[in-house]
Amino acid sequence: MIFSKKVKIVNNAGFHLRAVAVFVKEASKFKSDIKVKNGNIEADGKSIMGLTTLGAGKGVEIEIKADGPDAKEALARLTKIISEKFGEAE
Amino acid sequence: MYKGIAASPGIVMGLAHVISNKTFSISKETIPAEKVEEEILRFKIAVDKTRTEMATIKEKIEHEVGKAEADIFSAYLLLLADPMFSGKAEGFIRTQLINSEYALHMVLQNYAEFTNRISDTYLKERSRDIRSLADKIIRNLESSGTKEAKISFEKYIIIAADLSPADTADMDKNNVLGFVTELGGATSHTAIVARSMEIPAVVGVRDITTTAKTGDFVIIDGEQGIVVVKPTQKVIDFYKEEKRKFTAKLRLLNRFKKLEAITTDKHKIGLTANIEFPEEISAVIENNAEGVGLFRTEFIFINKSNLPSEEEQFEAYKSIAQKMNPKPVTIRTLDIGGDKFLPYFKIVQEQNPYLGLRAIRLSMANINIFKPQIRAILRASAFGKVRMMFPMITNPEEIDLAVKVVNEVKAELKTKEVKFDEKISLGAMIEVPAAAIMADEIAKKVDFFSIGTNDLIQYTVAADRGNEAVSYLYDPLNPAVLRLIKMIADSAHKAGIKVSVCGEMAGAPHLAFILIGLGIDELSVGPSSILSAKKLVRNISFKEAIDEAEFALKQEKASRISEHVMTTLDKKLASGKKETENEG
Repeated sequence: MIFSKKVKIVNNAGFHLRAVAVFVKEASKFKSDIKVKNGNIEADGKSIMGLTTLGAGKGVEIEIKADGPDAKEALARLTKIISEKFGEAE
Repeated sequence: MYKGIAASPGIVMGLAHVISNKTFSISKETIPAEKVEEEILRFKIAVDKTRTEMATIKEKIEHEVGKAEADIFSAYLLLLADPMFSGKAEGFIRTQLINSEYALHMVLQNYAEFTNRISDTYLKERSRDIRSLADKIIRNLESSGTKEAKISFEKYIIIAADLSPADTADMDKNNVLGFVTELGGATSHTAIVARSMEIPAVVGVRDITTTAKTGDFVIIDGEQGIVVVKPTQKVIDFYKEEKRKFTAKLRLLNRFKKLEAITTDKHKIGLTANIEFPEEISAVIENNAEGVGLFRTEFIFINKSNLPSEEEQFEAYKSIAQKMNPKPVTIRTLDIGGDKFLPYFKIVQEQNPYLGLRAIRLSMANINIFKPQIRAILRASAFGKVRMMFPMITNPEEIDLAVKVVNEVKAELKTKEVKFDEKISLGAMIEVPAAAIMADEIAKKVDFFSIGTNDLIQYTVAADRGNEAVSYLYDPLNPAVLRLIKMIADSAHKAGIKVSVCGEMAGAPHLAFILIGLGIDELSVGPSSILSAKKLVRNISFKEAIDEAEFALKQEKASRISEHVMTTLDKKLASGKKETENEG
């Protein structure tokens, strides 16, 4: 099963190392293959290094793709994390 | 054989130490195939060690500070486990047969290719977090490294793409035989440092960090600008002979030590030395210079993790003043900005650093740096003949302001009954065309002028001396530059003060010849150039120098001047040779 969803980055600092770490920790809990795309650049959703190369700052719309048995749940969980600003206090 | 720019004379042979990346100071080493597993183990041990460290710090910070603050360490822990990071480095070690440090460097380079595209400046900046993690692993690699994996030579030739002032300040001078860099020209920082350390250097050698490997036997000819990697026995023999000739030439120059720097028609030229490290004083005394014409104080500041205290500065200035006493020591206040920065002093990123907040401008804007330095210089003036000079003066008001600060500090010292030379000479460095044009006004306010030709040339021709695409414009013999120098010298003499040249120009005989003709009273050169400058002075007449300068001032282009002065000087030095030999 492949699901994908577009979501806007809303935290001030954007997809920086700490935020990405929160994302990767959650993503790694799922069996599905996760990919994140910013424009033409795509990165492995479970690689912290890969995700930081996306350079997705505040206001950027990224696309999350999940492929696997728990794809739907993964997508719901990960978009929630982004909209909740990675649990950062701002 | 590779050709570069001759940056510091002398011939040296030895093993290469290749620094592949200037910010990382990592050398590329090839690992024999049978040792690859051992190298990977070394890498894994360092990663494990880093992981334990990070986990400990994370726990500690979580406990003592807060969870949010500890997050970055969670990120580091994830990174250490990321196949794109550690896994990739391991892959590089295995496939490329390289050392762990270089593999990490390759991962970072790879990563930088991606992050360089990031337009979000905050995120771009943060990509450094990964770099600092790699730094930590490298440090752990060093401490856990097996002796075999680490190559260390007693003495080596540094080969690098570029060396920053901080890199060179870090080097152990006892271990470095010579420098070779890919970037830079004869006036680049590396060149100046090499000359001041009296070690041979060749700069501007393309791709040398990829053609030479750490451990290769290398010859540097710093006079011809030649680098030979893995020479044949024939070439080695040739350079042994060249080295012998070079030493013989030096011995010949030594005859000038005791002689006065005076032209054949009895015109006295001051010959002083430029130095950056207090250790250079021995070379200054050894070559019998008449004083220190320029003591660059940056190295007291650069080689540090925080601002040096007034006391630290005072000790450095005092020791030089005492050693040179009664000969004068001219101390220049801090000249940073441009291409020199302090690691602990964050300055705003400028679009145009050479036209920005540097030298005296930076000092005036940071009175907490300026005042302690002035206080330290004044206090040192009680222990010898000290003169103070301000770099990069742009207009007369700047001198007024600087003198005002000096007077304030003087008053403070007086109330505290601290001894200093109340009549200390204050000078302006003229290196901005605006100051050259207003030199007559500035001359009324100071006790001496010193011309920094490197900056004066680059500001006059509006060309960066380090930029190969435009460096052809950077010509000391550009008639515009010569006219400005003439203006400065005339203004100084009209006001009854002396003018010296402390830039690179003073060290080249044909340029010094013209400078003398333009009316320059004193040449301040690297300690190793004192004797050759004296040889020049003793072989020319002041009248000939004036004629040459007059000819030069009438020319339209530099090449014409250059040809003419070379011909005149060749004739002079050829006929003068006999004279000096008889004197010896």
